[in-house]
Amino acid sequence: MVWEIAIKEIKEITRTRQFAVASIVIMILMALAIGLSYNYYQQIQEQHEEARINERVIWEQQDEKNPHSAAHYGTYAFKPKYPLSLIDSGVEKFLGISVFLEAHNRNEADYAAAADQTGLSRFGSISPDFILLFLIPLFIILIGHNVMSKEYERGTFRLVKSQGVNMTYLVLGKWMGIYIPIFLLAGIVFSAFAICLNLVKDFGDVNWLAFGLLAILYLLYYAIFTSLTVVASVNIKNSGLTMVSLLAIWMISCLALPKAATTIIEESHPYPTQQAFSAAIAEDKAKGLNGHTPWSEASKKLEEETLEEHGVTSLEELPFNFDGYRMQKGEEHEAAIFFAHYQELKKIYENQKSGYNTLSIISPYLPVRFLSMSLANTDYESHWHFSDAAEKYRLEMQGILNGDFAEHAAYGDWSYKSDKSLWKKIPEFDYQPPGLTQILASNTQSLISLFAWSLITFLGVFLSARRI
Amino acid sequence: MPGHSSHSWVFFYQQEESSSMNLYIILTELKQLYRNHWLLMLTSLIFFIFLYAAWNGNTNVEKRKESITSALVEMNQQDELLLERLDSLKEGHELNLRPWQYPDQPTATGNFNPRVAAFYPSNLALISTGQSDLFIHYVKPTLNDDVISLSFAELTSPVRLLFGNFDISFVLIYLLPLIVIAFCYNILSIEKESGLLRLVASNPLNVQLWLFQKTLVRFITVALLIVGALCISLALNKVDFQPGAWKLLLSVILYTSFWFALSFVVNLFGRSSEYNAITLLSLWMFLVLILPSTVSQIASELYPVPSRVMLVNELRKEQAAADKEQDKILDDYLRAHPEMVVSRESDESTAYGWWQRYFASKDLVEQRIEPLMADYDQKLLEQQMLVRKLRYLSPSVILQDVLSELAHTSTDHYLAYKESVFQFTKDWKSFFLPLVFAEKEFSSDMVEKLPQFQLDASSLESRYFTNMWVLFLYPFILIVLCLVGKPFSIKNMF
Repeated sequence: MVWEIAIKEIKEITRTRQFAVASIVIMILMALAIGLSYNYYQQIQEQHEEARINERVIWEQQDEKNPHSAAHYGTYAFKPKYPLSLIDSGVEKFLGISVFLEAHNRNEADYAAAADQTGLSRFGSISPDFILLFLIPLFIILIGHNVMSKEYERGTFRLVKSQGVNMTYLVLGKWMGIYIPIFLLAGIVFSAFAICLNLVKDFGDVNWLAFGLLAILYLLYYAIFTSLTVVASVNIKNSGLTMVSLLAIWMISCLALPKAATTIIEESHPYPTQQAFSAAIAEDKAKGLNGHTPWSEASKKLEEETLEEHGVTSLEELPFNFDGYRMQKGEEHEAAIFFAHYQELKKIYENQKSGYNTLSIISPYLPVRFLSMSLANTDYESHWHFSDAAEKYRLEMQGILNGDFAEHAAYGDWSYKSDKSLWKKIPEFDYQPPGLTQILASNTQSLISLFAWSLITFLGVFLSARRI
Repeated sequence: MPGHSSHSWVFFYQQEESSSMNLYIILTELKQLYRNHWLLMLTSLIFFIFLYAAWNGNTNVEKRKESITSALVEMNQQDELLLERLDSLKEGHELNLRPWQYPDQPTATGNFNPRVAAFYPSNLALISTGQSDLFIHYVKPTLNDDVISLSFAELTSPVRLLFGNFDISFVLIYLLPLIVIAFCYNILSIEKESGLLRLVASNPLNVQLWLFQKTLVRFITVALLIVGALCISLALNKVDFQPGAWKLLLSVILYTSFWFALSFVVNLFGRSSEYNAITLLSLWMFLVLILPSTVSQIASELYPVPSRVMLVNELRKEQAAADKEQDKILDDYLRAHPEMVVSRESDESTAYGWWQRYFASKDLVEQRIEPLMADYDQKLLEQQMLVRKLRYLSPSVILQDVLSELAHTSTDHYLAYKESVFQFTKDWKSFFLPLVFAEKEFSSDMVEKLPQFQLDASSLESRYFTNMWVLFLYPFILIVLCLVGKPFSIKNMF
């Protein structure tokens, strides 16, 4: 019975002009979005590869110089782009793409794409995630808002009821009638993504499990909107009013609430300004050990401790160059300061995310948005992961350079120079993104919200059917 | 819901004089609105969202002001300390500083006592966040800074940037049209669906005019509510009612009128409420969501900004080349800047000698990288130009342009700020470098003569009046075409 109702509903929906027009519009927009996204991905990937190779050549081709001068000259780590960013580009355009790795400083990734775009880009862009997150739910509302109300308006509901149709079956059939075309549409869209990711070799290693989870995530999201549409259509009974009410729900959950949430969350867990953040780090650094300030109290203390540890009375007697040693100790001390401040920043973000998760009680968009970005490796956590890996690499690099200086140069001999063999000894930056288990573990709250939304809205469908 | 009719107005249609009939239609529509719970809901909704959005906007503006004020306070404290130290040196005292930190060294003062180059929020900054959440609002350019080292990126959560802000601009551009649509999608259709349109049709009536009057009453009601809510929101946040505020009100009224005109036209086709809702919402989606995104995408596809990653590469190559030939660079530099050459040879063994090589080499890198940097600005400008031309396609894009112009948060404003900072950095260097190359000391009488930052907004052109004309033409053309066109027949509506 449910299946027959669903078939009838599918036929009716797919025969309407609005279904034909809207699905063609969505398909055209999606084709355009995939094309643009693919083009962008390919460009960035080529540029990053070229820049990475160039940067390595520049690093290795440095002339003979003091290892610490080379440490100041530094190198760049370029953030890789991941295949699934083709589907969801997340917050990527608001984050930097390269990190300058130098002595004494942890630099933030610079050159966010958004800073090089016009103000109009803040309206958003025609990207696959925009269509998946915003337009397809609208499409569901469009094709399904009158699924029950039309029966009331045409008077066919009485006929159906007089035939003794089970209302739960009727509503479930209607639900399937809306969901099956959406399921097929999503199937076509995700097949197109898969073909793109599979056929084009430039896309690198695709995490197909993450891809599959992305597809399931969106199917659940659409199931939630389908349930909301059916519940509204059953209860409101007037097609126009159902449409307007559903649109209000869409508008609040997808557009207004996320914007309002940013303000509420920023108020309770404010981010420091760039200047305040830098000033706090500078203040802490000034208090402690710095490789370039041998006169400082901290340096003197280190000097005394080192002499005592090695049982000698002068720095010249040490079996290594104290300048290099102090540089490394200073680097470690500063790294600890950076770590503490960045941890603080991370904590603020975690609190902010927790705030978004709490608000996801009133918006199914929020958990889906966060999960989708995470699975595509385009969320803020992925950026942190990259930034931390770059910092770890920076410290390793400083360790090798300072170690060479400490080991091979005499104390006070700043004219000591290393050659290309040392530059080549520094391994290339090889970054691996977080694994799927780690991604899912950091999004437990979003997963719970999503399942809660799915269950509650589906329960709503049953309850509405029983109330008819 | 709007448009619930009472039988009372049917009586009025039976009046013979059309002018009095018009008045009755308007009065009846007003009565219906006031007796309807919908108006109360609408008023509460409009006031709530405007007050909330204004509060949000103002919170950001206050934070911006506070950060600038504290930077200025710190700068003044540093200046006082600088003067004290310079006086001590003059009196022959020693300072508890390393030699290169002595304030009489121009390189020390040029680097440790920078000015605050601030971008103050405008009177109407709260209405539109625009690009203000992407960029910082003050920088302190030092002697070592240049166009490459100066960063304007603010430390903001990217999630906040992705979601955007709930400011007045969002309320006006996105939500206001939806309020209008919800208020007007069924003005005519509800009469048809409730069967009352047949009664109307029994009167000698011009359907366009009848619907126009009904829409007009609603437009005036909503416009008054919005103007009231906006004025109260601005007043509560202590915004001065300068011309900018009146310009804002005018643009909002015109934008509102466009959506009413659109609802009027869609209603006039006499289709069902559901059909009207779908049509109007599709138009909203197209004009507010899809078109602006498409325009932005077209602009960045046609005029892509060159890769920043490649810029990093170029910069590194130039730096590496400059490092290798620092002595030659200094010679070339002094040849090009004879005014900098001191009577005696620059002493390589002094810190001055090091600084001279450093600045000459930096200057060269900057010069070589300048064409690349100019290419970025050029591409961004070309994007802007295209966006400006295509903005007429959607009233929402026009309003966004108007609001960011009034709030001084547009891309143009931030570009002007950046340019002013770059110019100021050059001025700052021009003040100190002659001292460095002439190996002169910085003295306390120079503190007052230090260059001061001025935001140069002369390159900004106002597009307000063109925007207003187009915003006016949109509803005007829609309404005129419907009113003067072939009268719609009520018969066709059944």
